[in-house]
Amino acid sequence: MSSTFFFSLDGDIPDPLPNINTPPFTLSAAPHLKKLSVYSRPFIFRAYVGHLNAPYWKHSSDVPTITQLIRTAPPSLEELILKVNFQEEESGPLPNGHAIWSPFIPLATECSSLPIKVYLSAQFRRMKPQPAITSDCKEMTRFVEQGVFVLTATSCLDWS
Amino acid sequence: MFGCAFWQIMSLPTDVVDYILSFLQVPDLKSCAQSHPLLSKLVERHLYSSIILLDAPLYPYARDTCHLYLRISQLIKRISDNAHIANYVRNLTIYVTNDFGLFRSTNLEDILPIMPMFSQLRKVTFSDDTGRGLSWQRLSMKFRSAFFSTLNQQPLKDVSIRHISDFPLSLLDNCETVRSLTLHRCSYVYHEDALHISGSTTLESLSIRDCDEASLRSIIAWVQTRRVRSLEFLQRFRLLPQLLSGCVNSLTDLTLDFYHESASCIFLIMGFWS
Repeated sequence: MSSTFFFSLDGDIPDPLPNINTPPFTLSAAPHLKKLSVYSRPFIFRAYVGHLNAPYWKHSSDVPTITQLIRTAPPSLEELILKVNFQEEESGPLPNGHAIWSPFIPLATECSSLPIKVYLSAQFRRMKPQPAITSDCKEMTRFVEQGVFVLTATSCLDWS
Repeated sequence: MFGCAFWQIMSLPTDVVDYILSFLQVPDLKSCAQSHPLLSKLVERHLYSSIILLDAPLYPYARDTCHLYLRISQLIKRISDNAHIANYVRNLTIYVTNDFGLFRSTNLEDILPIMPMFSQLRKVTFSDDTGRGLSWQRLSMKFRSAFFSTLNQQPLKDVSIRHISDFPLSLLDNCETVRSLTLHRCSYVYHEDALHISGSTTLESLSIRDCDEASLRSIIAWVQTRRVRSLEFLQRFRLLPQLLSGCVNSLTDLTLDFYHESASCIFLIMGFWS
C-alpha cells in the first residue's frame, strides 16, 4: 500500500512521481462516519538512485493511499486523526522538511477542500520535537497556519 | 516532618484526598498504604481498582505501574482477609502465562470462588501470554461457566479477549450491558447461531487486531446483529469492506493501521533482496 517518493538532499520537487496504490475499500461504505483515525509508519532514508546519478531522500509512505481514501469520504467526515511514526535512519544527516512533509501536501489540499480537519501526531526516531517542525516546508506551514493541519503532539524516541 | 505533612494531607476533605490518590500509580499507592493505617484505608479503593491476575510469576520488567499485579493465590488470600476489597475491582485482567500444552494447570480454577465477588467490575480481559495461544475449548467447563457469569454481571461494559482461540462470540449474545469488545490475536473465533439474533444491541466500540480470516468471517456475521459505532481495525484490510458493510448504518468512528497493510510488502521486498 505504500508509495515511494524521491527528494534531492537539498530539498526540492519529488522525482519521479510515484505510482499510488488504490485502497481496497472506500469510506463511502460508512455513510455516517465522523472521525477517521489512521496509524502510519513512513520510512525516510537516503538512497542512491542509479538513473538520477545522485543520492536522494527516499520516502516510502502510505499517505498517498490515505489521500485516495479521503477522496471517497462521506460528507459526514469531520476529523482525520493521523498518528505518524516516522522511521528515519539511525545515523547520518536528518531528512529535510520537504522529504518529510511533501507527501502530506496533497492530503492537506484534499482535506481543506472537503473540509476535514486533520489532527497530526508525529513521532520521530531522532528529530527533536519542536513547534516549528514544518518550518522548512512552506506549503505545510501554510496548511498549519490555516488550521487545516493541527499538530497535536510531536515526540522523539531518543532525543536528549 | 513527614508526620506534619501527613496530617496536613489528612486535614483535607476526604473527597479531595481521594481525588489526589486517583492520580497516583501503583508503586506510589503502595507507599501511601504503608505510611499510615488511615491512608491505607483510603488507598485501597485505588490500589485494587485495576488488577492483573497471574497464574505464574511474571518478570518484573514486564510490569507496568498502572495495574496491581497479583498471583491468583495472593488475591484469594487478600480477599479472604478483607472481603470488601473485591468491591473495589473495576478492571480485572486474567493473564495466563502457564503453558497448558506442558502443564495441566488448575490455577485458573482457583479463581472460581472469588469471581462472583467482583460486583463492580467494569472491564474484564482474558489474555494468554504463552506464545502458543490458548484454546477456549481446552479450559475447564467450570471456568468457562464462571467467565460467562462474569460477562453477565450488570456493571460490566468492556470485554477484551487476547490471544485466545476458539472463543465463542455467542457468549456475548445476551450480555446487554457490554458496550466494548476487543479481539486481539484471536483465531477460530466462531458464532454458532448468528442468524437468529435480533440486530438491536449497540456496541460502542469493537477492536480487532491480527485475527485470522475464519475469525473475521464469524465476526462479520456477528456484527450484523449489533450496531457498532466505533471500529478499530488493526490488521490487513482484507475483509474490511465486508465488515464495513455490516455496520453501515451505525459506524461513526473508524481506526485503521496502514502499517499492517504495508509491512507485509516491506518484508516481501526485504526477503526478495536477501
